[in-house]
Amino acid sequence: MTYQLICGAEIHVELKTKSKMFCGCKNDPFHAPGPNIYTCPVCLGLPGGLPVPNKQAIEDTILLGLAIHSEIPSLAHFDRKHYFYPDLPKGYQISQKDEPFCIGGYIDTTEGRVRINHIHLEEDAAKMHHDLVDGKKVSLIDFNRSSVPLVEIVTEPDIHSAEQAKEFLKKVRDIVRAIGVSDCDMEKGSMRLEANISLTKDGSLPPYKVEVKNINSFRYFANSLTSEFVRQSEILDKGETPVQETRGYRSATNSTASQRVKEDAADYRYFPDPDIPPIVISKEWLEEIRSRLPELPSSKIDGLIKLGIVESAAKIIVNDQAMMEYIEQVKTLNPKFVQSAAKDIVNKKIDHTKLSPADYIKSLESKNADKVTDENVLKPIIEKILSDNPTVVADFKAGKQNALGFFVGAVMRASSGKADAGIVTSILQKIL
Amino acid sequence: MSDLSLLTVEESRKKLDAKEISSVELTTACLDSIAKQEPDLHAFVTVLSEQALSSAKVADQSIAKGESLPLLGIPISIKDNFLTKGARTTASSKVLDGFIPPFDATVVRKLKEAGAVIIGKNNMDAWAHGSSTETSDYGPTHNPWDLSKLPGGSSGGTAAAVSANEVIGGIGSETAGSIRQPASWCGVIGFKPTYGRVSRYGVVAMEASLDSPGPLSKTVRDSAIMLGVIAGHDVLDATTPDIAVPNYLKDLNSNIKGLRIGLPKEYFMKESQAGINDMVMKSAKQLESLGATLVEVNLMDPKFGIADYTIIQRAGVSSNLSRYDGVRYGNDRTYFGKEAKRRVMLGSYALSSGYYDAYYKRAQQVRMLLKQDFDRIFSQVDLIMSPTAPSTALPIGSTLNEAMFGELSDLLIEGSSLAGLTAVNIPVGLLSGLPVGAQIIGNHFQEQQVLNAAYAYEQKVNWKEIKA
Amino acid sequence: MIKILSDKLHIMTTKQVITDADFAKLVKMTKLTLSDEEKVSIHSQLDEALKEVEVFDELDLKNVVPLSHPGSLQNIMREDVVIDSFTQDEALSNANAKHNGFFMVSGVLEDQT
Repeated sequence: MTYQLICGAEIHVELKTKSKMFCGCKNDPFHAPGPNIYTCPVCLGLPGGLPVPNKQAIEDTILLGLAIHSEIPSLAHFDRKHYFYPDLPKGYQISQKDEPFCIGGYIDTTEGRVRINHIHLEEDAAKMHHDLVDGKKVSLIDFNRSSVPLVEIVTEPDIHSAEQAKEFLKKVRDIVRAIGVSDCDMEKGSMRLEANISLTKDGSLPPYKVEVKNINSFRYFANSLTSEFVRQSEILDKGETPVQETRGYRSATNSTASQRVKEDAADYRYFPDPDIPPIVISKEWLEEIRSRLPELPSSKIDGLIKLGIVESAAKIIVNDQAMMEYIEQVKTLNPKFVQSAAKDIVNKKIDHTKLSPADYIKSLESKNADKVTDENVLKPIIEKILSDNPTVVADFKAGKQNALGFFVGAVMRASSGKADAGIVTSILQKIL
Repeated sequence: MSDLSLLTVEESRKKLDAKEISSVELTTACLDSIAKQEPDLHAFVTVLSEQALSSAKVADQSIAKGESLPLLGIPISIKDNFLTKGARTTASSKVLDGFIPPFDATVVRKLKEAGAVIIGKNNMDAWAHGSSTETSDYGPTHNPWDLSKLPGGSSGGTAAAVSANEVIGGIGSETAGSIRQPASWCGVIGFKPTYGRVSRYGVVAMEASLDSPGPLSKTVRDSAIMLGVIAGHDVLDATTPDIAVPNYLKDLNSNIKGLRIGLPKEYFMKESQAGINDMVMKSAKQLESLGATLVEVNLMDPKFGIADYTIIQRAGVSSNLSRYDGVRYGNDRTYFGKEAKRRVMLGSYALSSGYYDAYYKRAQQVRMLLKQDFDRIFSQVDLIMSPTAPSTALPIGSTLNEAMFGELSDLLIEGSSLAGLTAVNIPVGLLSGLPVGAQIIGNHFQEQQVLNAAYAYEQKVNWKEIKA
Repeated sequence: MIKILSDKLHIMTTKQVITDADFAKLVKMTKLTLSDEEKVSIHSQLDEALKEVEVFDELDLKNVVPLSHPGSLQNIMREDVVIDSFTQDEALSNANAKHNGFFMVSGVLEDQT
């Protein structure tokens, strides 16, 4: 039996604002010199702490939405999402449910379009780690990360292969980095992934989905799809339905393991947060944010292709800031050499970190210096070929333009490829 | 020297500035009054004797240097749901038994900046859940007018302390009735500002779209002074609009000629205790005799306000009490009292999946209708007047097994709270020896108009002489 | 007085509104500990309170926009500016248990909601 993979992704990205989402504490949990040094009544959930939203974080979220073609509604608000966990200081997370900042959108991959359901803005939880203290199992909590702004990008179930998943996630990361709102560093945890995976036979949405968490890289994301495909296929082959549950990805075994059966699904008791008045996004504000949208990777690729660079090389170049700058410089110095520069740095024929664009161009020009450009040398050769081919000369004079190409080719052969084609062409035109 | 604790805020200010008395003398007089009466009243959870005397000394030095601030050197007590840096704050719940806040509520900061001497933290219904002060985990407060009676609540400790002259003035908070109702039962002025007029930052939250801190005082002028100190925009509270704070005291004007006062028929209920409606109606007639026009109006039946308030407030409570897990401060959730448990469970139910639309969402829709109802009335009249509570103070113990007591007692208040309006309780007479209160409700940010009407009444009538 | 008002609002009821299963779920969801007596009394008190809400049926709520905020404020935001935080000592000053600058709780499952 063959199945089709159906996967939707939930991508959490920590925004790199200066301060936290709802208070003025420093947003830099990863580099903090000690635990619990960036806290206040708000992010520590003390009685009487009140949230005031960070304008920059809201604009960053909207900017991301604009970059992936989302619709930005004119009205948004924050909701409270309730659950108990020691890393969640208020017993609820301020998030968005019914009226998020970005609705819809898409990112195209070579295997088709991945639609975005929405992007919402929320606050991160504290960081918890598990330890032994005096022989007892304990959990230690650091609230430096509590209430760091976090956007969640939720896709439609449009991912159908591990390869597509990787391509999609890379594109998301490249866009987020290009607009400068997050580092998307998986190791620092500033980008975190979850996959919702199920299998179908006929393309219809199956009555279950398995949520996979603890995915720390794009490769693991792809691996979790592959391993879930195998696991779920075996269950379906037996005529059974996989259990709707949350599973954790285990990189050591490249497999997933059950974490919690979702039957007793959490009831988050969402309701609009009365502490935060609604956010109205006026046309003026939206246009102001839109004006900050930099050129995105896809449009940069198009630009490189227009310069004559092949697509595969263009994709590599836009993802490498140094390569991109190199091409820009070559273009400024002498656009004639952009194509060969792209080919040479992608194929690693040259080391673009060592050879300066100016030196690179000089080296190409010196190669060209071997060319025969002296008209006095070339003229006799050309005249001989013309006299040897009177019929072709007649064709040319009758209007056959490609006759010119025939003569240029012949001259090149006669000079063992050393003649400068440009000069040969101009001499030919003069004579004829 | 006469008992200084009997002074009002305004009288204290004059005597302190004229150096007739010192803040230390005034503070000592209040501490003596507290020491004498607390065994009977129990209006405080925490008395801050040492801190108060040391701030009084500092205040005296400032006064000697010629400094004058609205509350400089004046002993004020604060309901125990306002966080006070370094001074235990419990909200009268054992969950917060040993909680020493590392910061001041904005209201407390403003009081300190205005020179106030914080003399103690007043008892209240635990978490402000109630209208009796009987649900306090530290035991009930007694009504100074009759020790066998309740003071009302949830700001019952503050109302009793002001009424019994344990303090010069007090600060309470109201979600729906928690200032007005205890003020009514204890015979003091209780002022509930417009929602958003006074910052909620650092106040233990009950319901975030309703909570409104406000003063309880011996006179209307004192409320005007204290409101002027605590009101205003706060960058730490996103629900406080940046609207300038008037000088309520300076602008206080007892001339109410031409003022239109609406008397809602539905609020003079036949079920109220006999004598209350008459007494409140008489007080309205007094305002009429001063030039106001009385207009009979119709408002939505209070039964809608009570049902609506129950759902919205419980939902807020269930959310706001989620943070108490004993990890960062306080005790764990086993320390919640029965009233808190009831409210958290009802609120969670109203928000839970499958029931949200039937309860919470509908309650928000009804809230819109209630607000529109008041908008309509305020296009016809300037103020609304009615009894504050349907009864005078009830006996201690009478509310303990009444899950809905708080809502019932605040039946005439909930609608105006849901609409975010400002209001004041003024004492209008004694019924069988217990105070009766009338409430005057104003439109959003019409604090001055409400204060003026209350002031006009206070100037005209000595309420303690009106008896039935 | 309490009884008179209760009667006015017809809130005394013996009708069960919350099912036993929902009630049990509610206790778990709110992380509360109820005594056996409380399980019975609170259940019936919640039913009474919910009975009150039946008055909503008397109102036409079609096309009524829900009201979340009594004021008309919108777009209240902070500029992205860092302000002073608590010191570590202040942050931990009320903690029941701490260890090396961290808040400490007895071990919880690594599975996160």
